[in-house]
Amino acid sequence: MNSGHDLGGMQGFGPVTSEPEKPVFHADWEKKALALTLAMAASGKWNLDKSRHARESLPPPQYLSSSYYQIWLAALEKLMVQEGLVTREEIETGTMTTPPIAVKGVLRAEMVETVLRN
Amino acid sequence: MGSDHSHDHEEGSALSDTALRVKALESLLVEKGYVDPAALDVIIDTYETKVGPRNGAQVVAKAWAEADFLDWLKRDATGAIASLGFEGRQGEHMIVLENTPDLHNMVVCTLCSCYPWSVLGLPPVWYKSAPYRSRSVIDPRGVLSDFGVTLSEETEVRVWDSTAELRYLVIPMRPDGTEGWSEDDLATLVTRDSMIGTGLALAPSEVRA
Repeated sequence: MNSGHDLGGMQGFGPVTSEPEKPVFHADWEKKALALTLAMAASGKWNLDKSRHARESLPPPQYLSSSYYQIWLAALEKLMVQEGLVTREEIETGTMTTPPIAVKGVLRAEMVETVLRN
Repeated sequence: MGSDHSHDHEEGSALSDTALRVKALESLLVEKGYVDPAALDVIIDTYETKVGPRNGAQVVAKAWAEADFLDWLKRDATGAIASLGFEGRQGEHMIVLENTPDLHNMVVCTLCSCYPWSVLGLPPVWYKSAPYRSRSVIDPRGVLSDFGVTLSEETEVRVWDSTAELRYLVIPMRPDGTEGWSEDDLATLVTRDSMIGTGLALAPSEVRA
């Protein structure tokens, strides 16, 4: 789709700011945002293309004013609500009020290395 | 995409809104049984300490040291890179781009952040942000000067837009004065940026002993 993410050739965003190789993450929550996104893929409720689409279809003003992992977080929430894994209210309160639904799988710690290699 | 100010907002407060939100989300998903919290730690540790640009530096060092390996990389980068044990997520289909005095390659993902995780780890903030994604394809030399790199006017600059399927690894030019160096030592000259194409490999004099 042709939305806020289609940035190639746009002007006005200013200079590129470089950064050193480390740190890889700039806040602890970013680590969890990445890890939760990867782990929730095991549910089998979406594929990689759908997860990209969930990010790309965030409203352009939100997309362009969010940091990278804020985009990932918003997209993950959107996908999970869409698929009935959680409700919007549960996300906002952090409290489980509906039973979990069946998922294809859960990523276990001992599986991570194998999964990331394939 | 705006520049990443989330770090700034967290200074002076115990936990930002986003941090609290993520904390709440993690406990919700664990409570639902969808997520194993121990798996999260392994994922984080993998990308913080195990998979990173030092992998790609080994690939480049070997390409510099062994003509056969460079040849293999050019014929089948995925296979050649996998032979060093670097494979998997976001590196399933690799292509190498060899820089020469006549040609400088730069890699971008204008639509999101496609990046060869298996050899470079997770992408830096700038790679995923609007300034680089927008400008690299229309003003690559301007972007290079943001990185302090100026190329000869005779050098062609070629920009490659990554796709969901293809990942690129730039092989920077081997610096002068490195004849006979071991691969380990050569790898110390290979910066992450040089493998994206926004930097050059370090000269021997630039590496601290």
